[in-house]
Amino acid sequence: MNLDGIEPDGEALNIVVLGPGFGESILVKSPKSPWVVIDSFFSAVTDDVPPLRFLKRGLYPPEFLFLSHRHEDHIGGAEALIDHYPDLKVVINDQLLPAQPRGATNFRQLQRAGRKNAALARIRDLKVRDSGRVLDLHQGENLACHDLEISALYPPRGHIAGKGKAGHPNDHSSPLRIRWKQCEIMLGSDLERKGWQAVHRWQKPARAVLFKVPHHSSKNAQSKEELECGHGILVTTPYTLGAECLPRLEDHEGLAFILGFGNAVHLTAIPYKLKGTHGRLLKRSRRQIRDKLIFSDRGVGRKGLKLKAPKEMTHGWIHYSFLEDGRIKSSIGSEGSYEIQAESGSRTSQGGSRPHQGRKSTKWR
Amino acid sequence: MDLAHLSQLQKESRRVYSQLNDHVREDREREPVYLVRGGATTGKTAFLRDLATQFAEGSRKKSSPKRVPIFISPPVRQEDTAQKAILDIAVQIHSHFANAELPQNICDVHLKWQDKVNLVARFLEKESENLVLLLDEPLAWSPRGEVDFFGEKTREFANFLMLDVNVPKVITGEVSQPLKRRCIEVDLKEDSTPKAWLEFASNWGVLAPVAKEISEGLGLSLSRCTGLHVRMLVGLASVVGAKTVISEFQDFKTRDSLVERILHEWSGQEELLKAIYSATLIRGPLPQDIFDFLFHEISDLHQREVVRSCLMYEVAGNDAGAVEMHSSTKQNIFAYLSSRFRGEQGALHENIARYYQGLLRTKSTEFAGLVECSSEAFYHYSHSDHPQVPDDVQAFFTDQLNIVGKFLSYKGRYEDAVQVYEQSVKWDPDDDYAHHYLGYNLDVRAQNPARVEEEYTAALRLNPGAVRWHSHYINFLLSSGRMLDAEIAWEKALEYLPEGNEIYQTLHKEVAVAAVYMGQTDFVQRVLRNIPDDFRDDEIHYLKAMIRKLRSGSAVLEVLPLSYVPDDRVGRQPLKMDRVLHEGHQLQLWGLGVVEEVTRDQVLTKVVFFDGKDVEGDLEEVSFSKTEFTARLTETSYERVRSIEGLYFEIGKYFLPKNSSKPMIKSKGVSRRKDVKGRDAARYVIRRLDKVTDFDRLVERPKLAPWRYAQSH
Repeated sequence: MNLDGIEPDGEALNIVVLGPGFGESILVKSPKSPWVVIDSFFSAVTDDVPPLRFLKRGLYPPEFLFLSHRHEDHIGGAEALIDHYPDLKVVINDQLLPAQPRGATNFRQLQRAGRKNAALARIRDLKVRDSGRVLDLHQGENLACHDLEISALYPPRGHIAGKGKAGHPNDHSSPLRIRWKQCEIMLGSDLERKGWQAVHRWQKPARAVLFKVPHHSSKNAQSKEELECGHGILVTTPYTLGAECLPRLEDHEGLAFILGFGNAVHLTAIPYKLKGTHGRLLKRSRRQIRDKLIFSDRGVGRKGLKLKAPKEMTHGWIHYSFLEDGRIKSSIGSEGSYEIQAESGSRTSQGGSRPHQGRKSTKWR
Repeated sequence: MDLAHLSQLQKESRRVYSQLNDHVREDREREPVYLVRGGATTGKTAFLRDLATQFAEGSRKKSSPKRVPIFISPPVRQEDTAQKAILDIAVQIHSHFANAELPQNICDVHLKWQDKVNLVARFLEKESENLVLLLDEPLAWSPRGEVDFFGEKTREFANFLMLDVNVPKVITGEVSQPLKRRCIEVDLKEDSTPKAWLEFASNWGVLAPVAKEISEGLGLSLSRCTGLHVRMLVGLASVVGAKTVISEFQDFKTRDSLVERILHEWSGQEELLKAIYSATLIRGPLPQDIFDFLFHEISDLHQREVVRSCLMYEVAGNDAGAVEMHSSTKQNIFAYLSSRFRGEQGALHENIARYYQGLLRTKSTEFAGLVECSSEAFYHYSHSDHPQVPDDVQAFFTDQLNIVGKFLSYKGRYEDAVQVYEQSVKWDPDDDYAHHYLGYNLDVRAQNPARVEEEYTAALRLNPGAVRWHSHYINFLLSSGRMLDAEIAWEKALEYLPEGNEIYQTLHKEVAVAAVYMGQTDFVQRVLRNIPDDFRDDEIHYLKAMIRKLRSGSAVLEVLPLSYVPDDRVGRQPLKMDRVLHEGHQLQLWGLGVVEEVTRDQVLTKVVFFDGKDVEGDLEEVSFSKTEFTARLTETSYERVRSIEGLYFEIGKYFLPKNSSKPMIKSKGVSRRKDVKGRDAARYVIRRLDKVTDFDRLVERPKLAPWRYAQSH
């Protein structure tokens, strides 16, 4: 993951969305504040923690690390950040469950589960030894970082998600609203529909200049109320793991739903599976892709398309800067980042979305 | 022991006795060492006992040199072997040197082990002219090869007695090469002439008629049998009749077959078998009172006599009147009865422990009795179902507490183990074992990490050369998510520890797998680099292969189940299928796959295909209709089709005559949906390490179906 193109703007609100294909991290900085990191991940391709690499490169010591929930694509590598910055404060609402590589049946899964375990174990250890460095931020609570004001929309205190003790980690997810001057951004984490309904019962949705679409644009995480309030830029990150591949591109899926409310969605990278096959595959439904790989009675048939082995993108970021009044100053995307628009373009966003000025941004119509 | 053999041994021991005396008079600079050698049933221990008796009697005579025998014969390969050996010394010095302080010092729990050893060394050195050490198979006190903490202590103490103490010695069994060169060897022969012994009625009491019958019926055939063997024959004859034994003599060439047959004949007698099993748990000779205690429920005197005379033998010397079971008989009884009484073993230990505890009230004034009963009560309580530090029983060593702590930990009673180790640390603040396992048991409960670290580091400070201390400490750091600290601790460990198998096995391997479970592949690779490629360990080869594949971005990892696959088979050979031929047909294509999703009518899978040169292809999505998949699945029944999501499988296509081909799927039945649940947080990593190779056993295996699917299509 090449982060060389990211140049923070000293007079604007900087938002860097990292999402190379697996893992998501958002870094926010105002002219006066240090960097605030929301979520962290480990890149198996570059074998490091990209948000840490970015911060180390520019010698930007962050003040807060917000971890929205305990999935490995949001928490991986947090232990490296904690170890590297001894003053970094960790904000997490989710339960720090014992480290157990649950469900792993192959070495790759074990490695991924392990990364999550390492982060959870480190935070748990930090909480015991240096409790002042581990905070929580529940619904309606605010945290100030210089001139940035960070509010949590979910979960309320005492919230127990799901039937089991732990519940699904996505149900504990913590969407954040970050305010700088008159500029507000909304980071949807991986909260799913029921969670959003609870958020909207508590507070009416309000427009933000940038909305990080929740849960990699999956259908189950999209809220009509939230999208109807007319957010500015809609940005999302992909997620690829095994058969899971988000955002899905079929009709009636999450991306199509989102595009019904805004004229474009920014995607930091395309999911691995589609890499190299580009538009041709993007236009095909998942079923069509499957149908090409038929195991015929005549033998093992691999007729038609042959999908490439998933390889992580080496890039996958978009850097936005906003002015005090909420107007966008610039947006630059890395190679492999895309702006996806609906074919009909029936609804136009009220925000100031502009095409990327990146080196190789591509429009899809 | 038969009389003839005993007299032969006594003759030999008298010779050694006189030689030893002569030798001593000539040379005092380098005291003589006699090595008594012989097979398993030649009576080496009896020889030593007899020698001890002669020295003891000689020391009381004015004309003979006054050497006091110190006969050391502790129970072998036990956690407390070294303790029992030093207590043997204490008891015998107490009985021969009335004013010596050494026995009290040895039994002072607040004195450190090393100080006790030093006191023993000083005493033996000072009294070398008045002592003779009789060591019963000291090399067998600890197991060969790698040993645990207690085994190491035993080994050190045995070496100290054999090599460092300059006192006349008689040693049985084997010794190290340097010592062997200066030893005077005495070879004992197998016992013989059991016929006369059999016919001597007073030897056999109520069994005399049977013994005589056996002697007459088998005659010269018995000349090749050892005394122990003949005892068993008489025992069996008294149970099934002498005629049966004589007619089936050919079937009873080995002792284990005899023991098995005797026990088999008694298989309906639960109480008797339990008493015999209990007798195997007693260490050392069984005096009459203990024998009566164990067999008090056996009213049949004939059976008691068979046990006493045939499964045991009478001990000569100081323990006259007591009986003892030969170690090989114990092993045979264990092998036969352990499946029946394994569940009750803890309760039987507790019963014996209570007996010794009760005995203390009557023997507490007698030093030897106090030492024997206290140490045995500790031993049996620690091996019981409820390990505990017994009330009103004097402890002599902090290690006695450590052993109780160890067994509490085995039973999962970590809180109690913590309390015991805390007491141990109080008694001896420099006991690295107690510090370490105090930390370990707190760590298991994921409690108080600061204290855990404090205890681990204290143990390392006291004994930086202990590989396991380093290994557990690094594991703790890894399971706390402190990766940087773990790497630093590992590097530090390398400074202290010498290269060798122990460090590969106990440090590098355990650290590497723990780091895998924390996703630290960089660290794993660094650690594994320190293990030479020619070091034979399947798990290490597996890990190395997996890391290599991970580094090369190999797709096969997605479809290879997390079960042990030897290095040379990872991704190169099929797990179940023959790569080249299937039932005489050539295999055309082979791949590894996993079921990703099962919809109403489709099975969606990921597969990596391999070409003829074993080069792996890309990860591909392959879908089947449910019917097709089930039809091809040769080893999983159709009923299981609903649970095939996550199933790992092999896929192959083989050529059939007439230019057609036939695909098939085989599965090991490893499903990704199965979770392996850890019971506690911190130790989970270690547990899983041990179970990497056993992963297959943790998941349900499908029932094997016949090959009809492959053949019918």
